[in-house]
Amino acid sequence: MSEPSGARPVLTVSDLAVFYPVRSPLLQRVTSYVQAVVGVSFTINVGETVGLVGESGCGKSTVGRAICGLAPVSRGAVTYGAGTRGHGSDRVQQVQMVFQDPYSSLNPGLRVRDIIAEGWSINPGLRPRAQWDDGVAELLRSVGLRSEVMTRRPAQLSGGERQRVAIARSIAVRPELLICDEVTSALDVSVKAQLLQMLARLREEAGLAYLFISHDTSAVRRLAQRVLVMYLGNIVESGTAAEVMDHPNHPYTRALLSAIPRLRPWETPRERIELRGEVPSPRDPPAGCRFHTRCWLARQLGTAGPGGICATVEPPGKELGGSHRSACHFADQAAAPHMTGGEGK
Amino acid sequence: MTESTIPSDRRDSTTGEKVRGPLLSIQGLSIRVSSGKSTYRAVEDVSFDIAHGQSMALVGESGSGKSLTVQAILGLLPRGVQLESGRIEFDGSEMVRAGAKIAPRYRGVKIGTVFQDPLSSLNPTMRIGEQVAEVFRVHRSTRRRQAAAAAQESLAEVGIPEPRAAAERYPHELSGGQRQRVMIAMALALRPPLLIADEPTTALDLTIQAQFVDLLMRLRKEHNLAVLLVTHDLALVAELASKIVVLYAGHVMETGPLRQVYEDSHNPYTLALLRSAAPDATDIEALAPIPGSPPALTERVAGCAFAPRCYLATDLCSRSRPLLEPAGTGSGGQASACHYRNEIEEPGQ
Amino acid sequence: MTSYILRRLVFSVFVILAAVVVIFIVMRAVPGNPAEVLLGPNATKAQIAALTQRLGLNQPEIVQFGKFFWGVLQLNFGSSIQFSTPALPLATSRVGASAELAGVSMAGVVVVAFIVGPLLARIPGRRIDRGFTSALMFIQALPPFWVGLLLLLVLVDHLGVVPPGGKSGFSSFIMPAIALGFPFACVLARLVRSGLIEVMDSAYIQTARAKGMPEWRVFWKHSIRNMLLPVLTVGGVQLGLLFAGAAVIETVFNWPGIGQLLINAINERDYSVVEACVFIFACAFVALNFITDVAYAYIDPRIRVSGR
Repeated sequence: MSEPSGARPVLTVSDLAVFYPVRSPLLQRVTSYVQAVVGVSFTINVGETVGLVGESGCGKSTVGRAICGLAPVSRGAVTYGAGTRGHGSDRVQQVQMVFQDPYSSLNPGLRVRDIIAEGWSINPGLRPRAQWDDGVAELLRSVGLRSEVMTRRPAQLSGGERQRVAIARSIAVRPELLICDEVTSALDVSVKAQLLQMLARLREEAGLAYLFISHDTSAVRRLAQRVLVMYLGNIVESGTAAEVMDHPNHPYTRALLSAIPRLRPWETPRERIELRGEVPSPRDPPAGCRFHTRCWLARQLGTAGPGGICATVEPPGKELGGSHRSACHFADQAAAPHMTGGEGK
Repeated sequence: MTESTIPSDRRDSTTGEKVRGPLLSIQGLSIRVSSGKSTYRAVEDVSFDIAHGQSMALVGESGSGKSLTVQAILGLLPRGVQLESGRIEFDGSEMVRAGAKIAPRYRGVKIGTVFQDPLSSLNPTMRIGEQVAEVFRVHRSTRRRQAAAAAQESLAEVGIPEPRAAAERYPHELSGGQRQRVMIAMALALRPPLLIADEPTTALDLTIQAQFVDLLMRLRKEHNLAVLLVTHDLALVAELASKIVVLYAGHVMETGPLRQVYEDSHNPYTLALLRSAAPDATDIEALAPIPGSPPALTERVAGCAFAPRCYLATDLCSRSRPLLEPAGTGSGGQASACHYRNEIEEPGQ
Repeated sequence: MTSYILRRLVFSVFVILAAVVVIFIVMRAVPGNPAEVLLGPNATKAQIAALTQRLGLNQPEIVQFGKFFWGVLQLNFGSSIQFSTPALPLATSRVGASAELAGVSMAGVVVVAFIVGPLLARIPGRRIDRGFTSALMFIQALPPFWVGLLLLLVLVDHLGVVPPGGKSGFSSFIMPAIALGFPFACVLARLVRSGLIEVMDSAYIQTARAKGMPEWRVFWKHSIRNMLLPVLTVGGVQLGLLFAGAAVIETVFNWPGIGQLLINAINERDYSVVEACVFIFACAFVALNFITDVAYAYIDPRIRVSGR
């Protein structure tokens, strides 16, 4: 993946794999593994926003957690900054995470001020205690809240306000990278829009890099410079936001994007690609290309059968020009005009 | 339901033909919430009709009162919340009166409901088959074995693979999409003429959401089903509904045929909502979220509820609450509650 | 499900063995030479030495433990000093009476809790609700032996409706069952109440109502099963305590149960009987826990899949 010259990576993930052991009921012997994440590699540079999209069970949240140390790294490496660092309190300053549910991610017994200042009590070097109140007020302003909010408790705030507090808490320790895990999913439409704008403004002001994990593809399109699409533990497509979302290549990405409901569907004809079947279990993923069991393209080409290439060989990531890559055997042919969008609706 | 005995039928005054009245008619609904010593009006003077086989969307954000309206229709208002005034008629007969509880007869039989988050909306300790079958057993007094068979048929109809095996499973053993289908199966088991879907796709993935839309459209066509879709997702509405009612802080802001309202809205709130929701925009600057937030129950003011956040607002707006009146050409029943409804232009940047 | 049961069973056995070890340690922790205590202050050194020898108390602790453990595995706890009969069979012969009392008491507790609980759950006003809950807590705090004596006073002395003590016909169960069960009934009633309040607010209850299910069905088919879990947790443990608390009640009412035997044996320094009784209590506790665990898994299918 090409990077702008002179850019410094704040995060490098190489060949990350996260496996959760499954134990037999009686003797608790490990019988198999849930392959939540398999072989994921990407880099995030200073001030860059990388969007990670996919549906439930694809492993995107697990990637976020593994980066923060909340999920075990079974294989591969997660590196913060330019060198191998980042354990313990060091990592706290490198990476912070904001979670989906604003109603359970804040301690209801604490006041907002204490919630935000907690990071400073662990890392006293960041801000002396005497300046805490000022610091909290400043942070609240930068996330668009009035400083009076600091004396309140989470129960007195709305969902959108709580998310802002959660964000303020995480940037209090001046991380270089903020992982946003479905931060807008639980919010109303207009609150979502407000929060996205605030995140954009914040990254300008604080030089933050984001890993924006979401199933809301439109939000990702707006906020991210680069996008990674995940399915069943793999990255199936990556590139700039424009490359991936305006010119999707991988059959899964194309199906996913075609499912986005449009505000004025009568303006352009509907061409939804239907994905049949259920998502396979990550404990027993399909051989070859993990998507082949539901892939409309493989079905069309007849390569999903027992001897077909899609069922036997794992597709390599193919370069498509620029930074655009797609993990599909037919990636280069998908751009050809005769390849249509499969079963259109 | 035989054709000739529908009470809401009337004769068209010009042609003399029988015209079917609305399936569901809400007239002047007001809902009061008592909290401690104070009472607040959460919903005020809301009226709309849903015709047979029509799909209507009730759109609003948190606090708009849309969920309370649904609960009022179902007769399931929580403790401390009451129907203060208004009429709800189903197929011409009065269904819910302020204070009385007539609705139970309709639930499950004439009105099916699908709720948000199918994982918590299904009983975790009861098998799927039994949850569907009990609709038959209670309302039709069907025997256990026949009810189980009928349940499996319902599951098959919504596209659940291997319905017999699925019926033996518990909700947590199914996927999110399958659970949503089970909810639909339960709601439509007795072929009610009206389906109420309260935020049905909020917790679901995009592709599952799309499957839901497809399923609903198919079932609507097959059974001439009327749908009341309650949501804040404007794009979902565009896929499913032909008529829209926009709620804000308990009041109807605008109503009319969907396409008309989306393309030629005459209400600043609707416009602002459409702009902040535009999923097609790629630029974050173009987002234009509505500044501020909806008023809490305790902050309701005189005058137009949206005035504090409205770019068009004048003194008149803060003093006097606009009534819902025909807007634009008024065709299709488009109406807006705004003093300046006929002078609205797209707001500049 | 089967593997879950097997696992709980194996675990239970380990707990019982651990209890045996604890019994041994505690008994040996009692200060003084048991032989001295047994023979009284006027014993001669020779008599003490002889009894010490006979009871095997002069051997190293490990050897004593080994012999004890081996005996336990063969279910041999030695002989009662008072009655000169084997200790364990003596204890087990008394279990029946205690079990009957506990059973009757439990039945009453459950009935009361499931009548009072749902009633309390439906109380509209906050103040009335708090008033009733406080009243329940007050009743729960009353000392059982005091309540027992009060019952004796009222029901026997004043009204004469029940026999004063001992185990005879059904009427003799009434007083001890009430005295034994009332704290538990209060706890259970409050649990049922809070469990119901929480469950009735759930999304799936709303779904059931929206399906047109009548209220009684919503209560019995949908709420009860989900509400039982927290009730069972505390219930299971409390039942074990019920069994243990029986010792005091049995003494007050002269009930021929294992609790009375235990208190007697303690007073008479009949060590083997004490050990046997404690062993039986431990087994009862463990068995109750096991049954609770199995009931858990039966009620909530999500628990069965731990490990899957």
